[in-house]
Amino acid sequence: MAAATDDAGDSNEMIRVVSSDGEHFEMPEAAANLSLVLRHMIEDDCADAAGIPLAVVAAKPLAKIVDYCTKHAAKSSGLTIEEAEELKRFDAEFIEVDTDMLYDLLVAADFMGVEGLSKLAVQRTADLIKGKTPEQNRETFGIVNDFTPEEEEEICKENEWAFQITKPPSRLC
Amino acid sequence: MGNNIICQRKPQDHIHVKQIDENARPGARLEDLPQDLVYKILSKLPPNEAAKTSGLSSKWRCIWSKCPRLCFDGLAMFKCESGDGLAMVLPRLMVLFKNTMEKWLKNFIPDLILTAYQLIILIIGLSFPCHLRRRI
Repeated sequence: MAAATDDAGDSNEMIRVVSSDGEHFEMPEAAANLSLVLRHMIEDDCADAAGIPLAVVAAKPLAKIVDYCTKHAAKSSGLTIEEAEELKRFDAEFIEVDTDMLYDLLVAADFMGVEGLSKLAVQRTADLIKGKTPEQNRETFGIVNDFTPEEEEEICKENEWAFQITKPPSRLC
Repeated sequence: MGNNIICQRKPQDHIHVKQIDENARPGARLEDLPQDLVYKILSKLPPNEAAKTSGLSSKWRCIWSKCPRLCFDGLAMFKCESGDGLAMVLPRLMVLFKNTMEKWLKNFIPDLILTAYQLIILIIGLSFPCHLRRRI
């Protein structure tokens, strides 16, 4: 799979990474190169047999990230339309996760500098927020409403333009 | 996914790990994400959706207004249909501008008068002893 990438020569080399909770993962160098942090570590010859330690990434999100990078590295160049479609489908399926995992992926992808995944997770979170009432959003993201009814009314008035588009004014708050 | 795991954690690590995990995320929530990520998420939303997050909780009240990506959507802000065009938007924009200016001037002019008054007092205060000194 890794042979399909541009990085000829040592692209078959496997890079080891270690999660914050001590689990070891392996991925092709081409996949590791999708992460800015890992790429810099490899360039600086820090990728040894012990593995690159990732102090803030736990095993669960790291497994997902390794999956994502491996898939994307294998299909990084010269995509046909079908392959691009397949990758899109993979992404859509990949990001269908619960909010806890989504937070983990957001933080981990941002920390590791995996731009594609970071964008994907950010877009997914935005999509979850979009088109919902404040009440629904509170439920999805576990946000506690600490406003008094008066405060709520005040905010609705303050940003009247935003609240009025999706709902009639009588059911604003 | 499982294929990539090549060895499991050791038992001693386990206790240590639990502590890290619990410290790192005591019930992670959206607002606990790093600020730049929250801003990134908000910048992906249309302006009215971003502004609607102000109604979630007191923590969220002002977050949207700090989002670094400014998007000025006259159609959304002035409750116009896209067919209304500029002719509908402009008068409303002018009213908003006028109101904002009036508010600003109301606050600014008393401030200006006060500053001028203080300045005069200061000048008098500074010159008075000199004046006295000369007389004496």
